[in-house]
Amino acid sequence: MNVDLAFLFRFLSSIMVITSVAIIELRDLRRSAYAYMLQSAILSADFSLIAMMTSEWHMYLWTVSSLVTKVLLVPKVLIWATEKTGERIEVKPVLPLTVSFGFEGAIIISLFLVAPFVFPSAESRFPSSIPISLVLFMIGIFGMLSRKCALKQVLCLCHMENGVHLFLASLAYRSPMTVEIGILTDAIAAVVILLYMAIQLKRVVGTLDTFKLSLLRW
Amino acid sequence: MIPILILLSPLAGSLISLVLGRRPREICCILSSFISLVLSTTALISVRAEPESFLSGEVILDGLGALVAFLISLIVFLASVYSPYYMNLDEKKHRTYYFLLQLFDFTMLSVCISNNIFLIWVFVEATTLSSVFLVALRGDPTSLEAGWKYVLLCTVGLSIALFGTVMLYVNALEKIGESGILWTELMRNKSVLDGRVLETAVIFLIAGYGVKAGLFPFHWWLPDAYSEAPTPVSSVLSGVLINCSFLAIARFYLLSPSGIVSSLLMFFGIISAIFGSIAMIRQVNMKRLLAYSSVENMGIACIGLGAGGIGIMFSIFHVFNHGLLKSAAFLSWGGVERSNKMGGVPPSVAFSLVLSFILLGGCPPAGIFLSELGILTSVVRDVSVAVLYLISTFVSFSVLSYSAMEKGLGKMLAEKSSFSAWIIPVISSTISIAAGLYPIPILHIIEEFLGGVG
Repeated sequence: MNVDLAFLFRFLSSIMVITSVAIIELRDLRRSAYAYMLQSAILSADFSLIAMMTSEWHMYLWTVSSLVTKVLLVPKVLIWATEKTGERIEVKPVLPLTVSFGFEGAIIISLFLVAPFVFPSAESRFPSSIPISLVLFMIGIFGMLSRKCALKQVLCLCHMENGVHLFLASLAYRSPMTVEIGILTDAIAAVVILLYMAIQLKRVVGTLDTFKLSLLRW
Repeated sequence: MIPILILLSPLAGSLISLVLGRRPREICCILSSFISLVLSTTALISVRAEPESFLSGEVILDGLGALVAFLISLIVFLASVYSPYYMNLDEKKHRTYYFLLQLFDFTMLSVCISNNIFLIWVFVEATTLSSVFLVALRGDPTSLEAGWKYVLLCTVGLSIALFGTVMLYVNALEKIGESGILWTELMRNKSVLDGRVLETAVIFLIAGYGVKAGLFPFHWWLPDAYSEAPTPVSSVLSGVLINCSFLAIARFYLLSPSGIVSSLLMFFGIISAIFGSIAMIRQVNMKRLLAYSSVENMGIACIGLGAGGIGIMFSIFHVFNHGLLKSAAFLSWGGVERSNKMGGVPPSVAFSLVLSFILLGGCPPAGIFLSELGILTSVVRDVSVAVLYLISTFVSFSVLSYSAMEKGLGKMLAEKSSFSAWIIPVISSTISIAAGLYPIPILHIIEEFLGGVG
């Protein structure tokens, strides 16, 4: 039974990598938000798998809370923000598609090669959870640096947070409930505040292209 | 129970001020920050070498926390007395401002007394979230841009810190058990922890909280946020927010105060100090100049931490003095800006400006001179570091005193100025002078803290 769960865990986590490339590469912000929704749903499924494998009942609460916040709330607010700002398609990113794919591939391969040696204990329990959480984090940072659109940068931040949460769940699944509530609240509040700021930027400055934000230099 | 009471007063104040009218709201803010100032002063006086813990260890009161909490409540109190004089806001912004200022106070104080490593992270993140609308309060393009950069960069930085926190916790869970989530337990059992993982975790934590402290490669939110925020908010951001992050850095650094971690900290400290002082030269905007001075001073504090020994003691003393004088410099510059609009600078305001700027540069009677000297003695064996360190302090002193002369001693105005325009900066400068002339009590608290945690 346990072996099956571990296989399922690995399978679902691998799909997360595909969704993460989709989140970064899809130029249509709504589609990108839906890809994020899918990724968060898989993350919630991973949480419940961890709960089954470790029989830590409070991991089910993580599942529920991430279903409510990450699957329902955040994509909803993101799509609302795209409608509010009228920006469906993000501005052209810094790098062309092929180069961007190259970077992502390099990140994925190098982290899968390195990570198993860093946390051997977690690797045996939840296969490939550590490399995948690191991949999500690093691809998020890469997206943050290479995309110009403010809303896309918020999506990249959410994506990074998914990585951190997977890392937290697969290593520190015994951490107290208060910790999880605090971290999740902060993450959601940060996203809401960032989206509010993005809407304000569009309204006052008239652009979501963060590379054009150059009123303050030096 | 004092630490919890310190927190309650600004939290209650922020909620109450939502329902009050304009004038009572200002008084409520002053009162709540005054109560937390009194309580944190008693906490600072009564602090002992052995940290006291409350709520089953989640909350502690130790020397470092009490010192920074005292600084926070002092500077927020001064800023809230100063705000009615400086701020001219419409009703909606007025309410937002006073609500968020006290909430910001609450989150910063929570960082000081948290013992749970995850809660430290949660509250540092909360300081960003509660202060972003204070930075972007004006709502015009530049302030929104500054707010955007601030919140985005700090959130990304803190997610790196969260990675470090998780690594640290997992390491502790294997070696110490459930109680490894508490910082005091980690300090007590740090020799049991797996050294390599501990070092990696601490590097992540320092990099993450370093973004919030304004260390070099990630400093660029800082001049924007400081120059765009209203002056009382800049004084709080520069005076104590970065000290909060410094407190987090110091706490985690003490877990692994040697080897590659201290070399890295020293390296980034030197780059920040040099870069900050050189960037100060070409600034025309005083608030940006002061922001780069913060980068420089945080660099100096990190050099002290990395050097170890008495360097750690003096770097804590340095951030204490820097907080006092930096907020004094911001508030006195606010006074000059306001008087310039009316035609000229009154002598009293000019005095407060020159005093705070020159002391901030490291002029002898102030505590900052003593701490810079102390850090110099701890790095003096390494000649190249000492030379770079001396260059950066020298450049920053020259730039600060030159700009004080240039801005302060311009066109004089004979008429009297508003009392709070100059007395508030002078108060915090005086406290720093007192700390410089008689540093024994504060150094004793820091020494006991360092001795107590091992």
